[in-house]
Amino acid sequence: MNVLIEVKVLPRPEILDVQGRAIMQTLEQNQQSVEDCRYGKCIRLSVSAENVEKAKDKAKKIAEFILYNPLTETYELNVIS
Amino acid sequence: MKPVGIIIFPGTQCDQDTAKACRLAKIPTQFIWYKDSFDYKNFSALILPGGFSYGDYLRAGALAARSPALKNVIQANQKGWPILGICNGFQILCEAGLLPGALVQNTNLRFIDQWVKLKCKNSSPFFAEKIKNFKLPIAHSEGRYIARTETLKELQDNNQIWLSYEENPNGSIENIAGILNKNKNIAGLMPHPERAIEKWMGSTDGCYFFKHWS
Repeated sequence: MNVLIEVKVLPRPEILDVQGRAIMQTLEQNQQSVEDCRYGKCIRLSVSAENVEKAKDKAKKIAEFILYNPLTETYELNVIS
Repeated sequence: MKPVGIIIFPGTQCDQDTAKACRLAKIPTQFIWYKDSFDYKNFSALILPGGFSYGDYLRAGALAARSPALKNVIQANQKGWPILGICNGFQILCEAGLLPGALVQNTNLRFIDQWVKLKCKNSSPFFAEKIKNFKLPIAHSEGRYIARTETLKELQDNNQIWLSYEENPNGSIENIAGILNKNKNIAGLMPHPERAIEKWMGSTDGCYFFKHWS
């Protein structure tokens, strides 16, 4: 089966997220202030595996191999379909 | 004399300038394509030059750090071979785990292209001797060096902070412009020494960085 998995990568809370800050400042200038804004990325993987659990394991391995840098980022996996 | 190996990734653009800087120091060079395996014993040292490998996709240096040639770079490190990473090369060495810490986007969100004054805090037998004050050009978007508090302490305790900016251009912690690994055989720096090797370039201070491997 093919499982669609999204890997969401966000900068760690203690990391100065300059892109998030720039977006937040623009929102403020346009009277649409928010309490916080973090800028991240989303990588969508189509994984072929026997079942969803195995597909998730594979995606986790991939995420930890390359998709995120543990020093600066956190990630989460979401099964889409 | 064994040549210095200069590794080329897709998007590397400082390979020729780096080779020219080596030639000026009478050091032979040989280019290594990132897809090729190589025997590090055929080289006196390895340089990962500057550029934008893989267009800086995902994170600067992340994709290059997992390319075939890096397996041989890791082997070379295990035997203590001198390895120098310039700009994108520094980012690749951090992504590969060969140097601690990471290089993230400049605080001002902009690509910075300017001359910087630098200080050499600690030296290594393989890399530039302890020159007091010098200037080199920088050209990067992701040059802000960061590390965990405990890593930073280790860098300080082991004299691994190699170069520091006199005036911080990008938000790097402790004004760090270059670091060494624990064994001092690997060095990475964000400034471009190969762009300061002739008087007409504005400085010849970069020459200090290319005369240690002959």
